[in-house]
Amino acid sequence: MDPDELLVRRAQRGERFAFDKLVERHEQRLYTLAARVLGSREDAADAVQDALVRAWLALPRFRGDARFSTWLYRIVVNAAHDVRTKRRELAAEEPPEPADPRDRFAERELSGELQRALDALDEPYRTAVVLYDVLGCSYAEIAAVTEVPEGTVKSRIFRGRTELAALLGTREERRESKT
Amino acid sequence: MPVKHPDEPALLAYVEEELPVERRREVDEHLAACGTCAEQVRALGVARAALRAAPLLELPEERRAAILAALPERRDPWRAFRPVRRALLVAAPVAAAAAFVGVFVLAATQLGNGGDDDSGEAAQVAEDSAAEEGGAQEALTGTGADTAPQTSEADSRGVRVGTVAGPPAEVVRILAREGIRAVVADGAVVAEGRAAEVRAALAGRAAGPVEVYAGR
Repeated sequence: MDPDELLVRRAQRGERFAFDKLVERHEQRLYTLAARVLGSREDAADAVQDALVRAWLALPRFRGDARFSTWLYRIVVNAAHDVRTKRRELAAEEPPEPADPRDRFAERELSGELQRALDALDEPYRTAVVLYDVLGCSYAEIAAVTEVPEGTVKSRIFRGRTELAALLGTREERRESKT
Repeated sequence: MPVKHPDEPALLAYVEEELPVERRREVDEHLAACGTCAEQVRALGVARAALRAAPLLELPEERRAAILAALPERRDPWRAFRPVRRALLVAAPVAAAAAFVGVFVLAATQLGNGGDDDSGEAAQVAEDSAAEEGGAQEALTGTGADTAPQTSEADSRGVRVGTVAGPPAEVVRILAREGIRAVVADGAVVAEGRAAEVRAALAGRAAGPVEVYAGR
């Protein structure tokens, strides 16, 4: 049984307290998913906000065919994709920043070798490895979240990890050659 | 010497230790002889370790509060059913009859809403409410049989769900974990929510002296 079932039913009837509890249970994973996929804490918070509003409004139509967490992950993945698209559009419209944008955004970007390597992956690969390795989802769950067959999920994890290892390796070699 | 390389799913399954023993041995043998596949397995393992070492991140507390506070109002089809259900519960002395009428009223309301929900969901709604009314009726009957004066008391507090082990404050905490708000009144626990859900939330609790009521 889905451990969220009771809370979901109450939230479906409009009880915000129950929805708050559901958010409390899942927010860490939702935020981590969005942050690792988007590479930005600020964008991740925006994506989680969009996702939770969508989830709240769509909740009465949630049928329980998938687990509630799977349903939430799917909404977050879609919301993250929309946030990314919006950012790109804004970046294209606005004149480029005169100063180094890295200074201004330094705090909201996620730092670290791993995140830089993740950022370099294509979105489907990144989403697959984050769901599988960071959140610990099963192949079947990822298939439901990303709406592709399990075979494709495995292939994406394989490619994603392979590319990621190459990216991490390159950095290590560079660092070694510097010292 | 094996010349056929294991395919991608097989190498992934090898790293994830999902292969049956026999197949795993075959891949082991292949890896010992094939540098390309061995390197591939190493890379999969490196990325796996790096990703799994990544911590879960915390959404800033004030941001979460702001998100929850900014949730829009939801036009809630369920809310409209509540008074109807309650009226049926009081009016109909037989639970089966209440459930039967409930199916009609709810289905009609659902259709009348002209909403986006399909009939499958309407059926589910009707089913839920029928189940609840059945359960509620049972609980009320039980209370009535115990002691006559308690019936009116049960009405004001809601539906009597049953009795569990105390202390009452602990029962309230258990309910809160399941997202059910509850208070202690005269040593009894009065929970906001459906009897069936309150009962389910307390299913693991031993029987005891604390009376539990559901309703609002």
